[in-house]
Amino acid sequence: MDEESSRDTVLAGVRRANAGRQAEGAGPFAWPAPPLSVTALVDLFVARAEGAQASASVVSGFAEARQRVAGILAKAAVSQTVVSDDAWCSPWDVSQLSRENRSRPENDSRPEDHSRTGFDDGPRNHSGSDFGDVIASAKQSDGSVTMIAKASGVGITSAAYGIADTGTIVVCSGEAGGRAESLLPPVHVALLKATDLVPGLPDLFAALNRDRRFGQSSAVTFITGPSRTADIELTLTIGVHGPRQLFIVLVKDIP
Amino acid sequence: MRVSIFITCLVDEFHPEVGQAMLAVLDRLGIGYDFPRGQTCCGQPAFNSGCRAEATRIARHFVTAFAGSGTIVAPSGSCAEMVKKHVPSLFAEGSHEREEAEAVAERVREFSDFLVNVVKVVDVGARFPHRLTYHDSCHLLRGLGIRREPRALLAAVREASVVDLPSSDSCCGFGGTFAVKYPAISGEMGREKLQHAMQTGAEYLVACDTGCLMHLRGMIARHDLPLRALHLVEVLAQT
Amino acid sequence: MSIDVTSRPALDDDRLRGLLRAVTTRLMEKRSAAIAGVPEWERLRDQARAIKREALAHLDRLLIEFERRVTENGGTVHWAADAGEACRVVERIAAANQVRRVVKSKSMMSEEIGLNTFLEQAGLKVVETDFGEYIIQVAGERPSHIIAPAIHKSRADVGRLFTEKFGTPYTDEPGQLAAYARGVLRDEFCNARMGISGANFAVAATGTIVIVENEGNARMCTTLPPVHVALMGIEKVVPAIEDLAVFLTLLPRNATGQAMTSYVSFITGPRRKGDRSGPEQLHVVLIDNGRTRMLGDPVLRDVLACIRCGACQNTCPVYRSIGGHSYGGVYAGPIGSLLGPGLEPRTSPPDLPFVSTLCGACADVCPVKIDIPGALLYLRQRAMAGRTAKRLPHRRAWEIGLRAWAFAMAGPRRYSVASRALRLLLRAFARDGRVPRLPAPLDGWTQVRDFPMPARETFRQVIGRGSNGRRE
Repeated sequence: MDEESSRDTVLAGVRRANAGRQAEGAGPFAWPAPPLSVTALVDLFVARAEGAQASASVVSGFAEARQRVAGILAKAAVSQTVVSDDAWCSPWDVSQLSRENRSRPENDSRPEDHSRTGFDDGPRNHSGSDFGDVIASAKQSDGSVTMIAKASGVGITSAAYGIADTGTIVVCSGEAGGRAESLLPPVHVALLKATDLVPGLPDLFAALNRDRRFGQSSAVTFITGPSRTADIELTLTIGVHGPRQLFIVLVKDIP
Repeated sequence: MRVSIFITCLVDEFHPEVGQAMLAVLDRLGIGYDFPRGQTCCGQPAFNSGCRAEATRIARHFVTAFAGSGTIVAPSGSCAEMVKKHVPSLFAEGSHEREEAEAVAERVREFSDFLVNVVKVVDVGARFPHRLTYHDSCHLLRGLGIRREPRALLAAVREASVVDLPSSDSCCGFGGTFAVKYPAISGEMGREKLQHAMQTGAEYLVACDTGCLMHLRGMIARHDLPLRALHLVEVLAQT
Repeated sequence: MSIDVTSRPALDDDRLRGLLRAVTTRLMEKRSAAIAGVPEWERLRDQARAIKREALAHLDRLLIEFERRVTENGGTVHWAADAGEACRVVERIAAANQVRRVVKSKSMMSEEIGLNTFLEQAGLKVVETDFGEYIIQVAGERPSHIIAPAIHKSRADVGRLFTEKFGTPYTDEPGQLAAYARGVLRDEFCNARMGISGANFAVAATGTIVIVENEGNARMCTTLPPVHVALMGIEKVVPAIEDLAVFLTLLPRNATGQAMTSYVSFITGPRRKGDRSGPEQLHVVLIDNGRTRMLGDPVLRDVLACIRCGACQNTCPVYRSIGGHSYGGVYAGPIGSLLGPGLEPRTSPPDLPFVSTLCGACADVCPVKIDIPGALLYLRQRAMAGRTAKRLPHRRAWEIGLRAWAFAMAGPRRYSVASRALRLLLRAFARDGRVPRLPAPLDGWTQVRDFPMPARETFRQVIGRGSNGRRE
């Protein structure tokens, strides 16, 4: 049977099955909505994100955010980092990150533990620069971003929203990129504005609807902590196919 | 107050002492009773096996037998549930038969439910100086929502030491004809239940359903286990 | 063959049962903890059920809307009436795109339609990338649980398997085993020209498919290969994006006790102009394969609300004793006992609806409030009425037996006669005050436990003496 007739057959089957049937509409759901201040949202988000094995830190303003990211990169000491061209990632001067690489790394990122997870992506950076190469996706040709992301030790993206209730960041692909960069490198650094935090799922979907994100993005991704599996005897292993470390830099005091 | 006794076929045939215990408790509480002689069975074995026509036939007879009764008490969660939840639906919607069935169903109460929620008593003057643990029969628990009442009654038994049963709400494996059709699975489920019971150090495993008790007792006997199974009402009848 | 027979190997396997019990118990504990933080949980279940019912009632309209939106966004929608057609659709897409290697993320639908075997016969290499599915693919087995397909394998099992198949030094440390799989699969993700996924939900209003996961392999399968094929049962469609707030609150907590899984992907079409990564083609295959037949059944249509959380399996005392493989089909546990007869009537074991005590634990945890015991009773009625594709073993014998029982129970005099007959019979089989062996077909009882002797006097005989059965 060709696809056209399959379509007819299936739809006819559905109509026949439903003939004469009524169903009451589900109606809107009354979600509990305790009012949460921005500070409360920030605290809740950090607690939940950390509960999901992400590393979340709160900074004030672009300069501090850059410093924090620089610290993470220095500690990671990889030879290549890829930065997605998200709208507000780009006020960053990517080359400025390299220049700032001599500042002392902040001691707030998780200790590396490659032996346990067996992660060993790409050569480590043993040259004089603590950062290695920092590559902006925006400057690359279309086909190559995936290859670059694959060869990178860190991927930096922004997040369009954060869900405080679950410690989830929301990355939207689009002209802004962010898909391969938040997936392939073993370390993902996400920048999130505190003003983009929402309390819970219903608020998030309302925001996505309002901003017409589903119309604009081929892939919207909820990210809650690093990748994981418990398929063997329910023993938790952090870091499978997706990143094994997620650093969220929550930035306050930006317009 | 007076009630009609729905004895249930398993108690009638195999464990009349449960019925007698129930009468002893009613006597102690000064509650009158009668026994509608026409009663037979609630029809659950046929119903659960998928033989709806046969179940309807038995149910019709049940409704007739108890048509003239007031409150009807049964020492069985699953039989009470069968009558209350399923018997009316066996008859055509809007029919006179269904109306009658609904009226009778409404008046049926499982015995621990009757004591706590109708008579409004938890202390029935029982004394049973032993260590006990309680198993929640599935239809009693999930079908009728009766969880608190048996525990309240046991808690009031003098000198009894009641310990919690781990996974008390997990099915014992009886399931009516399931026990006959799937003996190995039924046996495994019963084994787990009995293991939990023995872990508590209890001397007696107590439940409100004779089906569960026959299954568990049967396994206790087969494996010569250091445990006894007793119906709740038998505990309540002790002085 | 009755499931009592097919489940014996599992019942005799203490190790398997220990594993099953430990894992399912843990999942249920985590679930309880996760639910405790959601005071509106019961209302959410009601809402989820209502959304699904409404969606199913308007399914044709929603499917058409979904198709329109997917197409608008650059994707292609295919329709398949049955498993064979669905497999051929995928094969055609593969052929049109010179696909040699396929990477797959977890999809119960792909199991249902037998896709892997079909594609392999067509000369393609199919690689499972979900860690649990990867393990059982390497072992050549079927999944035994909806959420944790390799739940029946201990760490030692997997260690030995990997050493045997790959020649790597033995380890039973799950982290190292996962790392090995990660290394192998990373190359596969990058080299495969087609990624196949399932879909947990599909939103009609936006043409979005939703994939819930923890490992990141579904993201890989749906981002890296140039062609993404999503397989979907037609019942997965929900009307609007807002509905997902309800389901994404219920599903992770009910399935694994997580407030949210590591990743949820909302995919609307293939990559767009300006996207730096993502597939060039998105194909969504809408599959019937028995669903419209279930939809037309007044009881089974509610079963289509299932969101495949696996909680019913975790809580079922029968599943926890016999494991998934004993159910003889793609789906196991309580929902498997309904989807088997519903979707695979010709191959599903005909006694499946009877392998349950109707305890109702499953209905308590179902996020969409499917009345599983009620549906099982309905299927039992169908089976006893002879209205099943496969013959129910001993159907006639049970029918005759229960008819006789009903006859005996339909009046007090018959009851008394039957009662006397029963006593005589049991006395004949008694030994030392017990009945060690009942005659067939009731010997199932005495296989594992004793049967009691009937009482010397029945209750009605006792109460009849003297007081006329009345007490004022």
